[in-house]
Amino acid sequence: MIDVFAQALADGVASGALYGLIALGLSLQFGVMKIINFAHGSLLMVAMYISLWASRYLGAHSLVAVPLVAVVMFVLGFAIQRWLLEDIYRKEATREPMGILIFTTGLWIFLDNLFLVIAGPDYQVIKGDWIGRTTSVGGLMFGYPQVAGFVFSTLTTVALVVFLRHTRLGRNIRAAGQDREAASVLGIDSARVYQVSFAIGLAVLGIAGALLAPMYPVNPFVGDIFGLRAFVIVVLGGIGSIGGAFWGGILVGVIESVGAQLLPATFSEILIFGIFLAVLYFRPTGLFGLEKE
Amino acid sequence: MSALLEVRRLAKQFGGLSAVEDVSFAVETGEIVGLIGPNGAGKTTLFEMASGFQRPTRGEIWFDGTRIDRLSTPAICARGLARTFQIVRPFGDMTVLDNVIVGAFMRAPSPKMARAHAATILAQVHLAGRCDQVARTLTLADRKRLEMAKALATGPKLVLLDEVMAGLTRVETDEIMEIVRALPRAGVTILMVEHNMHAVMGLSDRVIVIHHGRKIGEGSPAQIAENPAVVAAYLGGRDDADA
Amino acid sequence: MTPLARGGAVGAALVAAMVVPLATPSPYALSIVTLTLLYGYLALSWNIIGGIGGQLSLGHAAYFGIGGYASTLLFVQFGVSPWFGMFAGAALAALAAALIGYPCFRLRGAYFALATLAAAMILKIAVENSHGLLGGPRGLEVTLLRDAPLQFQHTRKEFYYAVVVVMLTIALSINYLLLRSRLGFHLVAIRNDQDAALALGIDITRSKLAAAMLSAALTAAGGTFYAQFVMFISPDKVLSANLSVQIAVMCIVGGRGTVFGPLLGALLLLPAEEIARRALGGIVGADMMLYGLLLMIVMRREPRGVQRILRDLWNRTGAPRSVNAG
Ligand SMILES: Nc1ncnc2c1ncn2[C@@H]1O[C@H](COP(=O)(O)OP(=O)(O)OP(=O)(O)O)[C@@H](O)[C@H]1O
Ligand SMILES: [Mg+2]
Repeated sequence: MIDVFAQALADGVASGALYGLIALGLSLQFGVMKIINFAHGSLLMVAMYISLWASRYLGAHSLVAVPLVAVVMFVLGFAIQRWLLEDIYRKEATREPMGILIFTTGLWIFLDNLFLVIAGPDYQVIKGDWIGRTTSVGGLMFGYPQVAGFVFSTLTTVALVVFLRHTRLGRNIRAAGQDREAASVLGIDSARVYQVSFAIGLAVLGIAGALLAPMYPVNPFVGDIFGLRAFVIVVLGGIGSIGGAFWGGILVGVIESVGAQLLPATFSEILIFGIFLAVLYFRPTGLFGLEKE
Repeated sequence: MSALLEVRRLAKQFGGLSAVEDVSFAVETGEIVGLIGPNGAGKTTLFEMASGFQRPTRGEIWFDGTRIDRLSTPAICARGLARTFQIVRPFGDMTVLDNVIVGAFMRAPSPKMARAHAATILAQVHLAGRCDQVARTLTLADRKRLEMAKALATGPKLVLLDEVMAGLTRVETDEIMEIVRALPRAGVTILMVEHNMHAVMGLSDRVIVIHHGRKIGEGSPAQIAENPAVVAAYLGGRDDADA
Repeated sequence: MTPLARGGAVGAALVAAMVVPLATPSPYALSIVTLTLLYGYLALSWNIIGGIGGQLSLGHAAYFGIGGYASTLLFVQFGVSPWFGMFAGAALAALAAALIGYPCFRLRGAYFALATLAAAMILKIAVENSHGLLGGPRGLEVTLLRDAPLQFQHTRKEFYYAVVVVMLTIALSINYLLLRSRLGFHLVAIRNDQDAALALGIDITRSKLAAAMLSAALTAAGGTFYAQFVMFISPDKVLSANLSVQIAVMCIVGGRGTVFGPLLGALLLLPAEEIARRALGGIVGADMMLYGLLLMIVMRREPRGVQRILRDLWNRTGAPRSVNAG
């Protein structure tokens, strides 16, 4: 019995790191631009399809596909910010950007159904011999994709933190996020910084999608539930906080995985949502966030 | 009778920064009091606390016999203390009249009466001719007037005016000065932050000076103009040049 | 034209427009018209919180479903007339709106949209997994009594058409009156600038809560109507995320925050969807793709919606601009 829980806990941590990675891009975009991208889940779905197609049509090993997907998503992110969001954002940057919320809702609906039309409603899986393999660590069993997901998610998170703290571009991104005007005084081109931040957000999401694809069957609506979970994670972790997203991801992963041992699947969904509302009410700055809004 | 507004040993810290430090003063009913100090002195922060947007770190604020520093902004407004924003905040989608009606609903029991009250207020600030204009399209001078009209429409006993003349021409400033000068007679006491010395000295019964969050002087405009500490800290240390 | 005369003209035109469909020979056409007006009604209900109040709700299907399930359950299990069940559903939906909205309304921006989206999804999952009482994924059937107007059912489509016209008129009136009331002014102010609204003494949470509850209650009544009209409800029909989105899109495309915009949105989109469906030969997903696309186009071109475009055209081509020119 203890073993079952230990396994569930470990599974939760492993998938949690990946959930955190999915939420990371969202949190970065919010931290810098104060916008919520409702198409986030759909863009995850797009990344998963790209990964699937790369393995199916190019014969790429799904780990080799990771950087490929990241690059494609980076370009896509740059384009979305540059040609779709920028003017709407500029028009209403002073207050709550409701226009971005509505626009990205449109993008979400559009992408989901575009893929329904071109890829069909069926669940599709990536094939590969490594995917079914398992390894055991201290009496606990892990699938190869699970291990890869955990390791690369953690590495990507660390890399992003290092990038934001220790590179010039990273510092510019953080400066623009803290104070738009001050940043422009320092000669930072905020429009360019936003394009790059949005693109990086999607590149990270692309990595997450490519890591998730071998574990999870892909269909046009697969992003919805992950997207929603990413929003919950971002709120739990403190909106805009990178480290918070990581720990929020682990927390949700563990609740889900351990919860599944105790409760019907529906209930862990309700539990996660209940925690979400409670956090909104009692600690809107997030569970781990120290700084105030 | 006690003062209309009384601030006791008020302090506000933002992290390590002390924006307001141990400030005490009072405003009596019917006065026009000027609050001056260099950029970043803590004037707006004082207003934010008095209007319930920020909680003081220490100290008390009393208004009309009740302690208000723990009350919510709407509760403070309902008691008769209104404020304007230094960076004006019109409701951009709404017409000028509708903007003011929003404030008038504070006391008016029906839409009809709110409308009538709003129209009176707009006449008071010489904005009656712009009633139907969408607020977003107003000039700066008219936005400042609208900002005052919204606050006045809530039927306040005391209005905190935060730089309602900044950025205006001499003629526009004089017009606003006339409007402000008439307010005490209409039962509205004024506490105003202003960088424009001509306006402050011309309007105020009393002037309070703060610098680096501390009160460094208080007195009649003539006394303040001669106070060496004030002259050194404020007039000497100004880093902007508008007058 | 004076506002009164103009209002009268618009009113007369509306009444005329509402009588005409009764002349259509085919019950199918009348059904389409009825559904279109139901969507107009839903868009107007959404408008109260989403348009006038400016709080993006992506979970209105939840209230619609609550309305449908509440009245149907009360009717099937206890024999309570859906006319009463409608009010029970409305009350329940208002309560749900308060529970979802209250934690979010002190906060800004996206939190409310997220919470509504999540709540609706959870409700759908919960209903799908409830086998006994709520019928699980297969849903519930309304007991067939044929011509029983007191039990909110009739074999003639004209019955439902008449009911939906009345409901629509009520929704239009509520929106019209709201925009002229204290609460309406408060909501529009909040939508424009929350802090400035606060400074004028507006209780932000209470205003948003009132709008959310009113909006939810009206939407739930629409759910009851739908259940009686189709005589059957299931989670994928009345609780789907697509429905939530459709309602919002109609209001936004038509013109959020106005009285006629939401109705206009429904009148444009539902027929457009029907035509697109036929032209594309029923490609699954094409209709929702259209909704997403329209939302993006409207937000980029004219965020105030088609209503605004028509108004500008009218002002440009119509008689000399007399009112509010300035
Ligand atoms: N919300 C805040 N968080 C952190 N620091 C703040 C905040 N608000 C104000 N400050 C700081 O507090 C100090 C006082 O600011 P305040 O706006 O009260 O000055 P002011 O006297 O109104 O100046 P000005 O004449 O430029 O309007 C400044 O150093 C400012 O940077
Ligand atoms: Mg200031």
